[in-house]
Amino acid sequence: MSAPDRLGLPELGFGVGLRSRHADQVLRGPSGVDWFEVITENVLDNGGYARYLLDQVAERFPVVLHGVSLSIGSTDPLDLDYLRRVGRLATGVGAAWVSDHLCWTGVLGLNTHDLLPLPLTEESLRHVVRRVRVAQDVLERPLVLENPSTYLGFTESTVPECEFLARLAEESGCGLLLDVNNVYVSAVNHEFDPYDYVRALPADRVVYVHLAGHTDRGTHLIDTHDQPVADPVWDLYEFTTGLLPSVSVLLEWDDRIPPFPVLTGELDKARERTARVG
Amino acid sequence: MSAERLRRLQSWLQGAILDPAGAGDVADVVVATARLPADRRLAIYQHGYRSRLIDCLSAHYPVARHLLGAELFEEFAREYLRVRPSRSYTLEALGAGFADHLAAGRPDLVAGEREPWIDLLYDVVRFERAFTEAHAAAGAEFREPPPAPPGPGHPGWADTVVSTVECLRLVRAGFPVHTFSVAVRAGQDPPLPRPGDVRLALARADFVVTVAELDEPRHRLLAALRAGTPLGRAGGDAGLTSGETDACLRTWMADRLIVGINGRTSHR
Repeated sequence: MSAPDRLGLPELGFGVGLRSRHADQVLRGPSGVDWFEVITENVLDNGGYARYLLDQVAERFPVVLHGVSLSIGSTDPLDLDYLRRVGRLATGVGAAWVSDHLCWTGVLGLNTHDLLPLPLTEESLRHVVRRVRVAQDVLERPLVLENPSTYLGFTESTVPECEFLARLAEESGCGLLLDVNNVYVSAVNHEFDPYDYVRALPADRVVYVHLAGHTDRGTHLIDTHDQPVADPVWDLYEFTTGLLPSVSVLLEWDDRIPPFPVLTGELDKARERTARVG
Repeated sequence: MSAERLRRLQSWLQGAILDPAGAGDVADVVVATARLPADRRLAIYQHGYRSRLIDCLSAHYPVARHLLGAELFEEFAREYLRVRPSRSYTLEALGAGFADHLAAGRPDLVAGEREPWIDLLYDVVRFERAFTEAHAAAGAEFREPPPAPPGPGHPGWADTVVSTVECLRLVRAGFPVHTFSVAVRAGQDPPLPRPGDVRLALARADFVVTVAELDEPRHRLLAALRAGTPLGRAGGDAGLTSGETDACLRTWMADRLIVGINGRTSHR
């Protein structure tokens, strides 16, 4: 099966989130990691070590900016100054692409610093499509949006999330970041079939895939990024890579961050799982 | 669902997260599952919001947390988040108003008698905020010193205007908060410091925050120079001779606290 177009964006291989505590291993190389993802807001205003490390890594590896504050689904006006600065940062470090989440983080000028769920309706789809188009114009590049982990759904929602994302990509021209762990977490929390969800996404718009660990709270799962990828997520990942040949893969580990070899060990598992499906 | 309905729904959810008591009938808005009723699904967000932001404030204010103890610190942090919810896209700014918040709500001033330990807490919080800002702002790493200006005998010396490094922060405190903070950050449990005025200059070298203790005239001089006051007037106002002012200038250039002279700066 040939690789889909994916908006013409490059295939980067297997990457991890960049962490300053791993700087020595990353910069000494070879690291066993093909590329790195950086949380946009951690470097956007930073003139210290975080920005220095990003510049050093960007000289050696492909990098991607992954944001948490775009708030593309909010009914507040888009923060155009923020977007312009993200665009300049992306240009400055030669980012392969810029991503964020299908969510909103606040209204009335506030920021909860959480990835809050949208009611999934025809009106909210039109709302997000309009805003993605504006964001892409300001960024002067396609935006790549991630399916978030969510813990509640709205009585007013009428469109399944996978359909919402597929239509969003089609109508706005954006790319998709398929977080396989988030699909699994939300599938358990909302009682849907994660395999149907993955099947419903347009393969040619999925620019990359996220993997991460979660925590089982008994009645629900929480997307904690603080432990290894769970077995059911690995199985879903293997299924996903069968539909998305050569897709770029990124392992997230944001809390209780382990030594670097633990991360590369997880990446090796991803490579093995990918190889199984050829 | 209209755009106005979406706006109202988002306002409701945000309000329910920030003020759980005002959530109303959650089941009208949120779908329940077989394992979780609607209000418990909302509670995941309510709990996550406070937990995440209090963790962030704890990371920015480890010394204040040590001073207060975890329980009291978290109580103050919760109240701070209630009164001043974040308006920034970055968590770096989350604690920017914490010192002012604490100062505005001092119970000892309401009672009419100043409590020294609250003075200490306030100074520690201001110092820790300056520390966080010095860590993140642009520094002078990899910069060469700026071109040296002529000495005090040279015409034009007094009119020299300097640029200080962006990460420079100046702090006045009524306690030696810097030595206390170093000990706490090193995992020690030092005794509470005795009162004693200190004037501090925080900056950064090789991405590590540096703290220098200055005397009153030199602290005033550095503050005036940072504000753009010409060298001669800044030194005179601080009560320093031309020779003393010039010596400070050259020391601070070597230490990369001063990175530009008359608009000329060295670049990375």
